[in-house]
Amino acid sequence: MNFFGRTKARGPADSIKSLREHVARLDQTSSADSKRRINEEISRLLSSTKQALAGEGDADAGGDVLAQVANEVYASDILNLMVVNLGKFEFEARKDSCHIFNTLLRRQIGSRLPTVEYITNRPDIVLNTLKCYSNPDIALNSGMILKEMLRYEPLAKILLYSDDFYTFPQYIENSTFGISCDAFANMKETLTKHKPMVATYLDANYDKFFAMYTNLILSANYVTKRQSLKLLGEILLDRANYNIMTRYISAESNLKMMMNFLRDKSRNIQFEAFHVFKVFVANPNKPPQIASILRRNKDKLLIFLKEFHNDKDDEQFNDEKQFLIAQIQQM
Amino acid sequence: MSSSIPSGSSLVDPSVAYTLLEKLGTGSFGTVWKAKHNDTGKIVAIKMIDLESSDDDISEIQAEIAHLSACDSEFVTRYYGSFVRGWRLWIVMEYLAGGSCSDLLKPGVFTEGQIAIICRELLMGLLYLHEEGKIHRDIKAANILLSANGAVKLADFGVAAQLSSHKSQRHTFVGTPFWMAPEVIRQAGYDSRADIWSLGITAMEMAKGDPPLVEYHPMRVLFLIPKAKAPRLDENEGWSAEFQDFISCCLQKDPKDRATAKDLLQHKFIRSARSTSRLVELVTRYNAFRVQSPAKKSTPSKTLSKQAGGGDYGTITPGTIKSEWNFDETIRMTVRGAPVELDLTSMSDDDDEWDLAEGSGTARVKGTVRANSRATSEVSLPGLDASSQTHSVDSLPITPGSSDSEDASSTKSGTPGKSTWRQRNDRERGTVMRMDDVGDGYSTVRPVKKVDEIASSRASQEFIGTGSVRRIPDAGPSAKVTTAKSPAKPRKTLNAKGRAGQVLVEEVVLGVLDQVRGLGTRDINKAYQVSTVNHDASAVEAVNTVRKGFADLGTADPELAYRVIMDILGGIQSSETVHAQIRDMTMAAMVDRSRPGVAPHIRREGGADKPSGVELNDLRGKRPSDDLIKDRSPLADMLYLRWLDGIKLKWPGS
Repeated sequence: MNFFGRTKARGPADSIKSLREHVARLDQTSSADSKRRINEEISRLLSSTKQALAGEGDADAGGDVLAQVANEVYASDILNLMVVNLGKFEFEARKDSCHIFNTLLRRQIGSRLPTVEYITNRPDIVLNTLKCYSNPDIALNSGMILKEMLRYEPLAKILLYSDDFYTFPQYIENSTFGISCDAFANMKETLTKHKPMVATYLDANYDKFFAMYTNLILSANYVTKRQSLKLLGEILLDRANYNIMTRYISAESNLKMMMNFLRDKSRNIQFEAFHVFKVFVANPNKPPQIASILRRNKDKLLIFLKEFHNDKDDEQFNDEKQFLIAQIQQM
Repeated sequence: MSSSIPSGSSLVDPSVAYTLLEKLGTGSFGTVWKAKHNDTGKIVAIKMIDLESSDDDISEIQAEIAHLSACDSEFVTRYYGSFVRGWRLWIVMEYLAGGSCSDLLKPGVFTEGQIAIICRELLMGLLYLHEEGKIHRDIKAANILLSANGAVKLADFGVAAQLSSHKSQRHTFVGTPFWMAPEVIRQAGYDSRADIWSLGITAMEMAKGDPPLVEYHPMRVLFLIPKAKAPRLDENEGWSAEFQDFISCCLQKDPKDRATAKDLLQHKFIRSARSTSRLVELVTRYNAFRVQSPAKKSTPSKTLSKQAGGGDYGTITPGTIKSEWNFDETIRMTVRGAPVELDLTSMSDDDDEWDLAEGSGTARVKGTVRANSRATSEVSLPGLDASSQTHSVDSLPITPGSSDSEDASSTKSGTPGKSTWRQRNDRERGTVMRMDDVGDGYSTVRPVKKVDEIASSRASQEFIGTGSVRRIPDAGPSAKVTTAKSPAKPRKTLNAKGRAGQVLVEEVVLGVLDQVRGLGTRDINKAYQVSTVNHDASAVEAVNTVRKGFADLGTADPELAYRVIMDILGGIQSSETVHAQIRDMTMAAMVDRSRPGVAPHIRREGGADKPSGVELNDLRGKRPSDDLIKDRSPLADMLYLRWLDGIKLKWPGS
């Protein structure tokens, strides 16, 4: 094993080259001992790259250093290698990988975002990052990378338009709390950050999306259910999603579901459901089947709403509730 | 994270994977248990959070988990995993048997030697965090845990923050009032050096039993910390020079002057510290103390709750309040030890999660159980009984039911000498507190971030009522100041003296006192930058009390205010003793002291030593061009000059 002599990197760009070589060797060797030594070297290289990018103290990282590293990174496929091999790295090296990744993502030349452009042509990097959620050891590291990528519309679009987007529920439902929340937060980011792009997508893929989403709302997991119900309210009430909302509130089954949630044992679920239910009632052009359900339940709804969360000080909520009562009364 | 508990167990029903052994604490967030991992026999602490009682965004709770799981340091409590069962979140943490430093302080203060050891270990932990770009933001004795063999660990990352780069800063108002750095309170932008301030406060806490300013209401403390001189150890109390110097390295008001964790590890006080095994005697002492103290026997240890990150302030804190205000932006506020989150200004996108906001209409309220609903269930709402539609998934294997006795017992255990504060606190905020929260008045409140929003926001209403919240950054948060806003109040018709009294108070007295307090009356930022005013906290607070008195009097009975002021002036005029004193001073010194707002331009005019009537009148002519006194009423200056004239009459020698 002679890596140690050879890997005295002269500059940060050399570190990236060396990093690539070592990551490749990680898979080639089967000896635990040499794996460990390669990993140590990888950790060292990542750490020194991170420090080079961070710059000295408070000084801006020299644009030069960033450019050198970035160019070497684009040439060497190291972003993808970092994501794919994240689980093999040591603890600190994983964090350093995130840091390097996210620093590069933020790189800007004028109005151009070279790293974003690079990844836009490498959609597998986005999807590989998402896949890391299946490994609990690195899920929160990769989650940070994913979150940073989702800030940029082209990358968020790659994820949303991919079939892999539909693996989110699996990560949300089958992970422990911390990871589940992180995955949910990134799904939410995908669905709320770039509104017009998302609206176009939801319009075109309405059925597919809501088939998936309804399962989240009906989850047996309290956290999943509460969070997804809340997000549903946010999505529907967003102006950009007007078409999606009108479709959603025309469906009988959706109204039924919300009416049942209004009477969920959890007050938080009830309350989130209220914010979706109100849209059905407030709709000035209720489809007949919706109006019919509401009319059929008119008396019960009036009694129910009059007693609904009366202990709240929330003025807006109380106004909305009064409005709903008035609307239902007129039916 | 080097968890000895296989992550595979994470998906196992936690009630099966762990055996709960004993309850360690109770708080508004839920309970903390000592538990055994069945497969490995490892003892852990499990914090159970009642998610349904929190109307917060659940994902915010995840922030703490994310911080902990990114830490791999022997100076930071370990996080093993988290599960949701029913509506309860279980967070599994390292169990530390020694207790928190605030527990360990109960039998008595620490020696300098012990403090040095603890500080060294803390600095190692902070060095790790700070190099990771993390700020703990809630360093205090209650968040420092000891293992049975004396290892020192930082706990509770409930309000920690992650900086994205070396240069980035935070602005969120967060922490625990007595321990908060001035720049955090000012929301002036701060970084990891805020933790160093809190470390200095914590060192004083360990030396004295209380943090500095403990005699003041926490709401006042928020105002006093940025205004008053940085606390120091009393030189007459026999502290070593090293310790005193260590404190002064930590407690520098300007973060630029403050040492870093790395610097401080080289400090003489720290370098001379001994091994952590010496701390075992603190643990032993506390265990003996607990045995002796009958009130304690039912509370095996409160420390776990701290370690688990939720704290057991429910059992110990009188104020335990984490209140939330909602004016136009998110403000979280807690009192007396309770971490505070204020986000008056979302100044950078790098700022905390709070900005991510819930919809404005989404305050949620406590409920009970999660349920399972089916889309297929009936459309009509039959009789509104929930039974047909919901399955409860509740019932933890162990339902915490013993909390009452525990609360009661710890309530009794007051620490001598702390009651003053508690009384104040109880008096001022009695209705705010829930009975459960009333404790011994000493142990600090832990961050309740995301937990128990409801009670907190209700409690916060009390503060909204006082109108003082918005004034935290400028005039201080206490209701004391609020009455000064008298112009907003409807006034009854006043006679001439009344009007004069009102004007005197508003234009002169309050202005003078604000100047003394170092507040540019309107410019908030300036208020904090005035570094020339740097009095002791007690002096600052005395001035505030006087100011409040005048403000109240001016509102309540302006005529009386007029008489008081005139009588003071008259008293000055007629008292030979006063003249004898004044004669001994230069005019400049006198003016400077009594009238800082005017002093600068008098000095500039050069004739300050002997201002003749003519010179002063000249000054008046120039007044409008003088920025410093632009806002001043001519009447104020006129009255002042008249006062000077009056003195001169009795003082012909000048």
